[in-house]
Amino acid sequence: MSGPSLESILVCGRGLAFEITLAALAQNLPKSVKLTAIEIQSLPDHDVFYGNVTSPLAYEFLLRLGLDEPGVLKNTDTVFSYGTSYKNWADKLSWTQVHHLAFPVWNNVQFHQYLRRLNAPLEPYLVNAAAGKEGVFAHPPNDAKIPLSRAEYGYQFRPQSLYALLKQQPTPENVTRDSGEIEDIIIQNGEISSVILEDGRDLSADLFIDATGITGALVSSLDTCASVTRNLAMSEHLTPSTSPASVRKVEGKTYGWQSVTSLQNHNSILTVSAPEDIDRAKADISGDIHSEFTIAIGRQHQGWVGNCVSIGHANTVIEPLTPAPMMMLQLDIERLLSLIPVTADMSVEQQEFNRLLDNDREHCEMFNVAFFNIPQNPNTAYWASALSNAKSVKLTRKLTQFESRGHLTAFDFEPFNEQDWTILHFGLGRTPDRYDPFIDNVSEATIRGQLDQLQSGIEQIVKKMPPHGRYIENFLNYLERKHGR
Amino acid sequence: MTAAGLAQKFANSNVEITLVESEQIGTVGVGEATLPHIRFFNNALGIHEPSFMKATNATFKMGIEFRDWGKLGDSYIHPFGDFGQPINSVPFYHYWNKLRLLGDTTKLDSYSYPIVASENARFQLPDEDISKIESTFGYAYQFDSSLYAKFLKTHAEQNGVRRIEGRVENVSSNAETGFVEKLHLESSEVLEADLFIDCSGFRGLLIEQTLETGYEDWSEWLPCNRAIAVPSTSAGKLLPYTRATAKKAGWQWRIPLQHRTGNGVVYWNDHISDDEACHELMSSIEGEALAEPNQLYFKTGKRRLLWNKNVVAIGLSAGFMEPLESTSIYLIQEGITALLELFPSLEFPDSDIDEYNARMDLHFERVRDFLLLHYVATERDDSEMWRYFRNMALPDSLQDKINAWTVRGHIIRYEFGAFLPPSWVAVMAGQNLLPQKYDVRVDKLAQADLKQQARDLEASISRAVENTPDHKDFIAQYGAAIPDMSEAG
Repeated sequence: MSGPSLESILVCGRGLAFEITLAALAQNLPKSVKLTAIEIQSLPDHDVFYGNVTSPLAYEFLLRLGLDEPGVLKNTDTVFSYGTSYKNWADKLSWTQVHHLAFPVWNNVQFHQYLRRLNAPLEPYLVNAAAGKEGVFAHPPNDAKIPLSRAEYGYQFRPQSLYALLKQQPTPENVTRDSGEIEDIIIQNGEISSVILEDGRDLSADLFIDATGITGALVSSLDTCASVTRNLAMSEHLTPSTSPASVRKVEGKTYGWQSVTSLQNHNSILTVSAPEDIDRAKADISGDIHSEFTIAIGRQHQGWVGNCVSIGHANTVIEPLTPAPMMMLQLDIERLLSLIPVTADMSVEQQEFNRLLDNDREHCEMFNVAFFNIPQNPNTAYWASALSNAKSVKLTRKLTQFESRGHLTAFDFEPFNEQDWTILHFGLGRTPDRYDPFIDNVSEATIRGQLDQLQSGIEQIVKKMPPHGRYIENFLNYLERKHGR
Repeated sequence: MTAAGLAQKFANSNVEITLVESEQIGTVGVGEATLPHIRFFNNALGIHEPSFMKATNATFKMGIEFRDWGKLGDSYIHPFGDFGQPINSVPFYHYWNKLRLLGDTTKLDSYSYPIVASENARFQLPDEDISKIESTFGYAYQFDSSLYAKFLKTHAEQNGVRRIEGRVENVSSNAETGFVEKLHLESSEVLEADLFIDCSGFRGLLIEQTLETGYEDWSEWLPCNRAIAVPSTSAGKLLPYTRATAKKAGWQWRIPLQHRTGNGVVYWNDHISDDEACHELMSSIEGEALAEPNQLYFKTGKRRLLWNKNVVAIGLSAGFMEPLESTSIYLIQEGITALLELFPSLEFPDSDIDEYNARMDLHFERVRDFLLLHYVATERDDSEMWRYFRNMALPDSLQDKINAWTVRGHIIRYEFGAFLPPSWVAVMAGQNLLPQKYDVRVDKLAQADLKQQARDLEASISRAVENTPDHKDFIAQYGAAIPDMSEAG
């Protein structure tokens, strides 16, 4: 047979990863592939550990799931997000980590080199950082002359509400959806041959997808092992809100950190600490705790083993300090879709999936690890355990190059781009030892003039932008009037 | 190129650039065809395209035709552009793969605007409207590399480069650090500098003869080690592509310029003598030879360090891989770009040197894999050379790529490197390395709809090409023709 021979896929799991996997497969695979989905109610719910923010790539990703921006805004409490504002990080650092298109290049020299020459900060020249401070929002226009066109945005959301929206979507005719509990997993020749449920059902498939969260129920039954780098305690509570901010706010604490994510009608507040400091963290919570748990940060050695692919927390648990957890989940899905097996021998797909997964994990993890690579972290359990993460060779190259000369070393398909890294370096107070020597040809007055012009343009546009909450309200009203939705 | 690149960057600065070269030392005329990346280099220098083309007798280039590579009698073009446009976010070549497996015999080439335009000797600049099929390509140039060097020399001198005509007789280094300190010229002039850039060609005057950096020999993978080049009069239509024809012990190139055609043969001297190679070349060129054949010797590979102490090797002194995919000038350009980004301070931090070397190693290795693909994706076994490649153990990076393609039509991608997925697809499909299965996502589109969309795409390309000017006419109309081009055939 010349065509793909894959006929059936079984997805097991619960929560956001489970629903996203199911939606992505249903939307992107032909009806000839039979999809069976078993929701396992007894699995622990750690969805809150995907965090409350996405990257700008979520817009396209939602479309691939059969959702769109207006639908998500209308049917969940999601709002727009220019990024995250960090405050008192390691007791001393504050900056806004926004999503931004490429920075200006003047005379073939990167923007941040000019800032280094004047020892100037970056933030005044980031239009969406300024907008985030004022709590305003507008979609970036197409006209490149308007400073706001350089802004990018993702979303602030609760994983639970996106999960609920996906679950409400009509089930396509090639999908059989049910619930059950796993009694046994039958392994033959290093592959899963079937999953036996407690009610006696024996479910076989060509490909098994493990979206069971940190238990990795399916993948861990095969020949792979997991490693843990450290444990974290997390809790979520909600508070009322009337005017959503257009950036998430994260504040560094001696016990760890606390984030406040504005949504349409309330704030989701995550409190993260070392397990040893859980009492101190709880003392910082004013309200009823919605969920709390301790979780191991770590990974399965292989994400794809035999005929089983793990998705989301089933292969990697990463701290939701940045959008990294949602990026990883999205990348899992994209990798899976491009490598749906075509024969019973899945060795090519397995190798490529695992290679890409390793790269993505390393790239996401090194961005998070870079948050802690600063002098004089607080001497508490959380900060000490974060610092114990070894710097990878790639991260060492990145840090060395930036600190030495402001050079941004990049690797293939990093989820966090040059702008993300530049903003992070500036935010953490990393100053290159030297700047591009070309800049000595440009007078300080000229550079200041250009910077002032840029900043003034940003200030003018931000003054005209509406409050984030009002913008969403008007946006949804407009869609209702124009398109009846 | 290096002097011009540095001069552009450091014009009006306190960095003094001196170029030492000798008219008596000839240049190797093999790098006459380029990749689209060169346009970024020229643009960065502010070069006016028609003027540059006129000065270098340049023609446009939309790809490379490979003859007799997959098997004798085969031909395909590796285009600088994509095949069709994605459907439901899935690249079009996956859909072609399904059609092929269903028995459709339409070649992938039919879905590429630059290929069909090339086959018809047509050319126009890419349309800025990305929804149009005429936007789906990039282009490079075929030019006289010695004229390009002269053109850039003028550019460099205008930007303050001091040029010294002369030959280096001796080099002195610091006894303690080993850093190069002075060049002693035949004229008795002594030149001191902080940074030395070695563009001295194969011999590597500074990087090898002085610093003894060492060479990574890649002959195991790319064993061709000699070349003969000869220009000839133009013949036939002025083609917007280069041709590489596989031979029993190497391959032959044909590069059409405005005023002449560049020809040459690359070969492995274990399997053919110099005389035989020369005879084969001279008997197969179109037009009349314009000069005596120029014999070249090389060993494929690269220096162990392209930047060592205070010497950076760029061009042939850095390494050499046969010009099968026009990568020589591309690698020069990457070297210059990396040097400008990592331009050192007087302390020459190891971190700058390590970063440069890591970055350039990656470019060299990725080019090597792509070149090697041409030799191993073949059914040919009609000579010792082709049988050698059939039994070769490939680098893992290449073997994995081939496996992913042949099993399911998947391209293992990278972001940093010369060749993007359409290039890999073009060569593998063009050389009959075909997937056994197709990507299941393609079945989301109904078969009848897919066939109709493929027919529509093919028709739209045909229409677009019909409305594309003749390559030679376009050069003239663009103001890029040399005065006597009307006589160029």
